[in-house]
Amino acid sequence: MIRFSIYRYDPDKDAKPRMQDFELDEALLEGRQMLLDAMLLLKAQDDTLSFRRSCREGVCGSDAMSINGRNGLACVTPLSDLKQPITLRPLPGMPVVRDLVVDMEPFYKQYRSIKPWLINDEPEPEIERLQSDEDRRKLDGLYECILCGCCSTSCPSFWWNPDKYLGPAALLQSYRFLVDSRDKATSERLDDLEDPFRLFRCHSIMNCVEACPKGLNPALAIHHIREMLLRRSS
Amino acid sequence: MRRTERGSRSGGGLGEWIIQRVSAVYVLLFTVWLGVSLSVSPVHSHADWVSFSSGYFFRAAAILFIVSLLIHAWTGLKSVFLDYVHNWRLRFVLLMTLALLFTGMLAWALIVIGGV
Ligand code: SF4
Ligand code: SF4
Ligand code: FES
Repeated sequence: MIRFSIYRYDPDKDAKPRMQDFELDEALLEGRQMLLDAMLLLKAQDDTLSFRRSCREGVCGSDAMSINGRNGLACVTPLSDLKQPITLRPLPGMPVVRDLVVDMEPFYKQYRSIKPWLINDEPEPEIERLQSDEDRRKLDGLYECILCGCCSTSCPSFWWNPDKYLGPAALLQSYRFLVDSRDKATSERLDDLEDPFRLFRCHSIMNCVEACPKGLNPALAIHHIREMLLRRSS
Repeated sequence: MRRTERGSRSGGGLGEWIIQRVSAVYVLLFTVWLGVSLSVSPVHSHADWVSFSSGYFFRAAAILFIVSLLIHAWTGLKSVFLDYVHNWRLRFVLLMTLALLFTGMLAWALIVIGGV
């Protein structure tokens, strides 16, 4: 038997959240190994249990949650790595819609605010805007982000000021456009980061690096942005 | 671009971040230098101490040390207030109190070290 302790909360019905114990017979897994596989079987037992999932292979980012106290994606977390009872909670600091489903709007709002698209007013070339190999490589470690929110919701600075501090995910994306050779708004983008909150609430606590299920390093991206600001001002 | 809260350009972002680091470096350098020179030529008596600490160089370096320390503490505590104190009125009162306290400490240090 695999034991679970799962956060349950329906704001419309429950006065406050509670933890509910579940048990699952390993045989039902039929060799499947991931936490999400087990959760789907639990849902078959009790269909009021709510969580998001879609791709089941670490691509869509929808099943981010707190797993034994650490943020991660259920679909790429092997059951064998987890101490029992496996404790599942919603992403920390986000408003709970129901059980493990949270309202990601504060996170998306910060993402939208960095203008996550190429800004380039030069006349469009006939076919496409080309990049050298070297320039393209600068985007490695940045473009892979799936916006799961594991990093930002593990960052204390984001917990305290989710409305003013961009958080590691949005900052990683901000850097992704700052270093893109095809983007021409570098200076405006940097202007937008120069206030006490949007970038400078980061205290290099490094929780974000620890949390990212795609192995990305938002803290390093933040460091590079600071370097760009320094270079510009000197 | 749109911002959630517009801060003054120099008063909080990059400028403060640089100041915080520069002051930390000086505080560290001074502490190491003081430790090394005191262990190379230990101070045994009050007279030793007077001769060690009365030179212009030492007094200038020590005053710069106090200033750096206060500036570093100021930027650090301000950062803590920005993190945790979300009511701007309370934050303003806290920062003003701190500014007053630190100015007092600086004046005191100037009197002791500078002998003014
Ligand atoms: S390094 Fe910065 S962004 Fe990452 S968790 Fe720490 S404070 Fe947050
Ligand atoms: S940086 Fe990593 S943890 Fe953060 S949103 Fe992107 S993929 Fe998720
Ligand atoms: S279900 Fe898509 S990332 Fe886990």
